[in-house]
Amino acid sequence: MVVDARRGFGRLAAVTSARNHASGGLVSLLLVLAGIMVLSWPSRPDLANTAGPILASVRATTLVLWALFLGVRARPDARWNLAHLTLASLVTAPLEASALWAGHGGSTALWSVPYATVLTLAAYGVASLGSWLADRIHVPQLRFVLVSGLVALLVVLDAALGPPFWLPWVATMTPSWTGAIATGLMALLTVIFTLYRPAGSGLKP
Amino acid sequence: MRFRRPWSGLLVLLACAGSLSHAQPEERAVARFSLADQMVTGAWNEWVVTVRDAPGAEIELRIDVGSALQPVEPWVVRASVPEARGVQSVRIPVAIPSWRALSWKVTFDGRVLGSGSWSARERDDRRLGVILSESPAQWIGALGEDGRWVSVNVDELPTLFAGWDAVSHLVVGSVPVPPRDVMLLTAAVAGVHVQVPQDQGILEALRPMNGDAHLNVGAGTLTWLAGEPESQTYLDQAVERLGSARPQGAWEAEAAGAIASATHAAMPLAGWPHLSRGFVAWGLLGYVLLVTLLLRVPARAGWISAIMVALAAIAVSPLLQPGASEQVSEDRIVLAASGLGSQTNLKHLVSHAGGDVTLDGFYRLHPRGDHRDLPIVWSEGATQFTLPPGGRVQLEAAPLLTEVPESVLQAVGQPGVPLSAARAEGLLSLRDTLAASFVRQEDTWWWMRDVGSEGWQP
Repeated sequence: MVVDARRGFGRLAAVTSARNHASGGLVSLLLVLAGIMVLSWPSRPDLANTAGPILASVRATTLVLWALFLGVRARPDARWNLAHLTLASLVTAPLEASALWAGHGGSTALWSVPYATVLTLAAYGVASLGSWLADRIHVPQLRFVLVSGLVALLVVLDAALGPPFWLPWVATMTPSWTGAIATGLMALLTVIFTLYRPAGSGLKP
Repeated sequence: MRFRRPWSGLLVLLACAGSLSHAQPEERAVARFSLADQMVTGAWNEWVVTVRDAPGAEIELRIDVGSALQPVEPWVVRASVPEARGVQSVRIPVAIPSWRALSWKVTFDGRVLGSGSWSARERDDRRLGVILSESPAQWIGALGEDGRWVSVNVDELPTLFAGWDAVSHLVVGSVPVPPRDVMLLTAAVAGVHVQVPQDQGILEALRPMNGDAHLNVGAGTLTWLAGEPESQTYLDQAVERLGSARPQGAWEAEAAGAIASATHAAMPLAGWPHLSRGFVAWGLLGYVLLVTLLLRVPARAGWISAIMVALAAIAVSPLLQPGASEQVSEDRIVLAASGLGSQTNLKHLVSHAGGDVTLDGFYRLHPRGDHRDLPIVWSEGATQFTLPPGGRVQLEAAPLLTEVPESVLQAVGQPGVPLSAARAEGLLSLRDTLAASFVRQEDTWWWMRDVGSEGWQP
């Protein structure tokens, strides 16, 4: 495998500097999460603060759906997508962390906040793989079908194998070493193949 | 060996079996409820387990609640026998909920030394009327079929203060050795209406000097009856005094329950340090605006700054943790008269994260509170249960005997701390209904009665 190291983080930096404005999607996501947090915040001191788990589920689900959308879309700059998804998961993380800590969910936050980022990258990788497969068989119209099939396969595996690691609204609240390893591996492969794309792989930069 | 008649062999076999059954060792563990093995649902009962030569034996009482269609986890009472040989008696206060089946066993070295059970037919929530008499039949006849009367010996009376919660009346007739004064006084303070003969010097020191034969003590009463015990005069007086307040109604227990409910309602709700929703909204708005502005900064500096701000916010988020997950608020009720009272400690407990909770002492769930079907384990003098996340329970401890301090006696009739009308509405209404007065000092509600008034006025 030939890896072009010059196209790695240096290229990513170039992409980010070229697109240094916040997308409307990211701001909208922040506002939606902030709204959910305010609405689910307890109105009285004697009520339990359950904003954290709600926010964790919504944040992870939204990020994963966004990652799938960006992966399926025939957008040429994969590195931009990856950087943008990472940025989105980082700037939304304080909301989830604050809500969880405020509801005595500190130990959950240590798992769910980073796991949502890893899951987002993994979801982007799955969508990119489906798109790449569709392109390889020269039927780009099948991108959505193939990605849906891959996602469905993961859901079935998730349900069959035990602790959930893929369903974002459950996995972020269910710490599991198996899930961490599986999803972490998928995310790592996604980053490697996106930043250090093998020459002649057919993946569009 | 051959028998001349076929049935003679059978007779020998039966005789052998009979002698074997007589030769069986005496049971090494027996358990009963202190008053003729009768228990009262919805009250504290004294459960007595007697074990012989089994130091450290394990005692367990299982209370199956729920129904056949909706079985729930049983409530369990566990205790250990002291590490000593000989006959050991363990007395445990048990709050009996509405149950479906009750069973007990005592195990020692993996062997069951004794076991037993009660069927649902024995479930009864009427307080007991207790007769101490050499001729109980005479009393039963005089009292009629109503009520739930039991005749016991003096040594069967409860020795735990909480054990008297199951009793509404105690009538002392003719007995060779009358119960000790302190036992009768304890019963009265606990809420029992105690009737004793006036000519036998029982509780003479407490008898009013003005010739009155009635004294309110704690939550109950003491009454001295004229005439020879077991005489018709004595019987007639006792039955007349019992009147409509025979144990079948047990309105005294209802009054105490109403006071507990009203106090629970008046207690401040346990909660956590709280950031208001508005404060959170403004904070979030500030964060979103800051991140949005930073992302609009040209070049990489904007992204890097936004990420740094996010990481800093994550780092400080643990500061939002609002103290301990479990929060408790406590209050006490004392039903008092004549300087003595029956104290019940109330506790509100809320757990954000949920999980196992262990409290020192014996507590029961308030019958009208949240999670009142929560399975409870009373183990070695502690109360244990598991709360769901965000779960809240209202608990009541086993009652205790207490003295009324001078400061409280002086405060009766004085204007006290003004009560928040909304919270204490139930208490104020009860005070009028019961024709009693109460004093609030520190975290205790002292409910006081005159020494001579004939019970709570319903």
